Amino acid sequence: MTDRKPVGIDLGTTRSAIAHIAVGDVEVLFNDEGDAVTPSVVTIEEDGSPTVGKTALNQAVLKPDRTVQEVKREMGDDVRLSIDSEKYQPEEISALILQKLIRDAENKMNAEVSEAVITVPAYFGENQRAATENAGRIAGVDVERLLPEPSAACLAYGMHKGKLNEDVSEIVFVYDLGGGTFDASLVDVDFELDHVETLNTHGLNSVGGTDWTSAIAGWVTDQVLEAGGADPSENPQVQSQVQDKARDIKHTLSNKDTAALTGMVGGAAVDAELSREEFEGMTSELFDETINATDELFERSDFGVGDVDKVLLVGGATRMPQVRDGVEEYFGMEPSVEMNPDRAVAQGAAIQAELLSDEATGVTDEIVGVDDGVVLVDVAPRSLGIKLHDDTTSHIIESDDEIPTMVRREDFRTVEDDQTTVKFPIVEGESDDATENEKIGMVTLEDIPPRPSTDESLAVEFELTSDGTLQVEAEDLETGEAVSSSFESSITRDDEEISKLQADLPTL
Amino acid sequence: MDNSDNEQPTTPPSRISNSSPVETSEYDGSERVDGDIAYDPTATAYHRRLGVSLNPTSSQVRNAGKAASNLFHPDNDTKYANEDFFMNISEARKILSDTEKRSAYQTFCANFGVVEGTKRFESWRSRGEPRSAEATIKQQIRQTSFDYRECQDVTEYMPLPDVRGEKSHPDGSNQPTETSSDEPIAKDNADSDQPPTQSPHTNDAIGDSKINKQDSSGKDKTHSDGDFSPLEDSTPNLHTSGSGVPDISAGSNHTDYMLSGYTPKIVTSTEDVEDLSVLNNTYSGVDYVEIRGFIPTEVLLFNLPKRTVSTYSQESITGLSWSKRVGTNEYVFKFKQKEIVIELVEDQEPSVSSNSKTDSDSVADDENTDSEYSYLNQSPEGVGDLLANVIRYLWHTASIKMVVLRVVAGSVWFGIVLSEFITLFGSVFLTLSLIPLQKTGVYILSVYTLYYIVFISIFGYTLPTGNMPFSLVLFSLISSCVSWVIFSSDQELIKVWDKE
Repeated sequence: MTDRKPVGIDLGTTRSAIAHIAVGDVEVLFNDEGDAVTPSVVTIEEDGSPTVGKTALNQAVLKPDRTVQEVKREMGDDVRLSIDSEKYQPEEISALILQKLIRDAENKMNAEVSEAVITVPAYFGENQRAATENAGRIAGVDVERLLPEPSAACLAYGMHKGKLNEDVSEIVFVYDLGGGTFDASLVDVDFELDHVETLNTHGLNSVGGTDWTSAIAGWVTDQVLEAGGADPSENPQVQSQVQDKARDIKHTLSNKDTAALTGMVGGAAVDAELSREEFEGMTSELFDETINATDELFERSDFGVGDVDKVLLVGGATRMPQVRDGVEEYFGMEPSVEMNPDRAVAQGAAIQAELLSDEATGVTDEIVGVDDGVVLVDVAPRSLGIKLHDDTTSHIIESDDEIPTMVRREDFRTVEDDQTTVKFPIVEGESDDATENEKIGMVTLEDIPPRPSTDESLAVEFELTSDGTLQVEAEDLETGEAVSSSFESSITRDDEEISKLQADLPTL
Repeated sequence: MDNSDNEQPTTPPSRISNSSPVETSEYDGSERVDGDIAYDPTATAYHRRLGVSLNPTSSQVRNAGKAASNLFHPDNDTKYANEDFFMNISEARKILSDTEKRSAYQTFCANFGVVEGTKRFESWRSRGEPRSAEATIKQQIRQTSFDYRECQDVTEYMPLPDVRGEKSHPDGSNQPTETSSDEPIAKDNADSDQPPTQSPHTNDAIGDSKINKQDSSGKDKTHSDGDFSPLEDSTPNLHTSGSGVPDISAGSNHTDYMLSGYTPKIVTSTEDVEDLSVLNNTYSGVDYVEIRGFIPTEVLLFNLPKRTVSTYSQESITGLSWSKRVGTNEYVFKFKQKEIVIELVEDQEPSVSSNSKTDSDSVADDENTDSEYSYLNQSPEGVGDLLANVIRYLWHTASIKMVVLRVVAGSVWFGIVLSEFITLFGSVFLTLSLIPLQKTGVYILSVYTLYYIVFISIFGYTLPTGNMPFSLVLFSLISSCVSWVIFSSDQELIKVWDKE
């Protein structure tokens, strides 16, 4: 285990995957159970030891109150999940999933993981990204970069196409419906320049494949209640059973026109059948939401629907015929089936990890077929701005600005005369009403030279680096000197905090 | 001006060849990195960063932008990777690919030149675009004394517009049509297929030239904008029947010459420009033409061999453009809707390297040139000339004008004040002399005292060099008249009273 290799990790809402660059190709690393994807499910056993993956998913029905699912949806939120007397933060649960992925991968590669690129939904905000990075740090992995999932998929796609030596440039639309999030991204993939550039991105952090499952779960619940079974909302175990059945039905409906619900659920025998049309009727609103988000993206973009050369479907939920057909209808073309929707993201992350790695072996060059590798240009998913005194937002970095970027604004002033300290929140979101946007941190400016509040004498500079971290600086325009400023992200954790969490983390 | 030299196209790989990555040095932005597209991430103007024309098509922006951002992206393995450069490129792409932003940007550039325009545009954006671009520009134009329109910049790299005709110059109507030689020469130029007339003068001068040939010839090639054709493009050589001046710009060696042997002459000028003079920099060995009075407060130094314009103050003059008339030795300078055309006329008695005596064509015109301009090369003789030059120079600076104006205005004001005092003391004297006639005397005195108290308390007296409100002058004039009327009518009263 002396070798050290970079890996790419797709940390999904329901399922995760890890990949690396092996000789000649990108290889998704199978876990100890022999699967390419690992369910993002964690069970904390009675003795406090965690179980992650398939086993935990199987136990979910038996131990619903000890099992954590879809933790990704809580990332960046200030919540605590309590199991027994212990309280866990979403970052810690994610860290456990990462540890499992890495441990299994190290076994498979027979090498240590040197650094990792972890993917996040493109529409993840600063807080959610910071939480994901913290999870990586808690898991003890060197997080080289957080990569948007659609970009990762495009990297994998570009590599796949690049092998075919087709010197063209394509506008690719990525429809990424994950377990808990939806991302719509328009990406310019230039095979000649080996350049992958995100043009626009839009998304929903509230719509994912699990919502489709929930729709079926609602139907299953109805059937159970009709058959005289226990109410799932009052019994976690029955709820877990219902979820399990619903997931099965969803998967079945991806391949067949009808799915049967049979057996004992909640103490009652159920026997019902759900047709695909019924299912699609139940969930048409969910799909419409993704289409609306897509519409919004094209409204903002310089490109139209007609400019799209290729539609990529990413995420396991895009296996649903409803999504495939709907997307095909929207774009008037059949979505590409070249990429495996479950693996493309992890593959792309592995490519990026290799490209960024200091210990690059040159294998990527061979694979990608170019000398200088691929350059991936990403954009800021949402606007970043300042919440002003009157609760309005002054947007500094706009959504779809390429990163890294630095924006300077010079029209700020203090509220009071001779005010020497200013404290203001940094918000993320498009709304002009700052209270509708998400607060991601506070900036404190100190030692401002006293002067009348009418002087617009303060400049504020936002810098968003390649790895998505924000730095805020301020300058006094009259003296030209930097004002001492400190930006405190709502979720930044210092090393001390991380090592404490690391120490508290139960071992696998 | 030095960085303009850096912008010359070297002969880089047509694509970045990474098979042999250059690891020796950090890329500093000075070198052109692509054979076809010349990116310059350090440039101020957006289109120059992307190496596209001032008014590029959207696909040009997209392609150049993609390639440039690929090149400079910090993740790139090559020596070009640079976060600042990448951000500069990104900014340029963002503005040029957005119809609205681009149009605002171009409006700024059209009014202030590309460098100043870019700076003002950025400043406008950094202030959150408080008003529309047009309103902002209008206000800024009101606040500045310079008119930047129709101008390119000398500061960043010198565009050399071809003053061939109206096509390339929107303000072609302003061009002096009296340069009668223009037409026939241009025509000659087009029709003539005679081989280039190598000017013996030019060729002989090469030996003495200290000018780096690449400097100037490379410079010309940087202009691929399309809007401007290079100063000295592949124009066939002109014979010089029109002006009788050998064309020093023609032929492949044309750039290697020094000014020695030529005398600058003003052909036309919208301004009262002072005499031109030629300076020789003893350190560089380069000749300059000094142009005084064309731009207020500045003296332009025109370095012909290097094709640069500088000033003594070393400050960049935004909005100055210049060009050479193809087929002539005429150089056109434009600034603030002013225009001056300077012609380089070969000396009758050439100095140093010139052997133009053999050039019989030039005789006819030389007479004219000589009589009018032969003294131009002479340095001023005696204190009188020197003083005259100093005064003339000072006159052309704004500050001396202001002093003169203030002295004149101050004198007028002082005169008025003086007359007021005379009137006052006159009336006091009169009053005193009329003490026996108590009533009228007291009346007059009180009127004047009251008047001065009001006058001083409202306006106060200011020094002549200070600001002098017009209303004050007017008020004092009116009050003088009123007091005179009162005074004279009073005398009538006095007379009447006397009689009684």
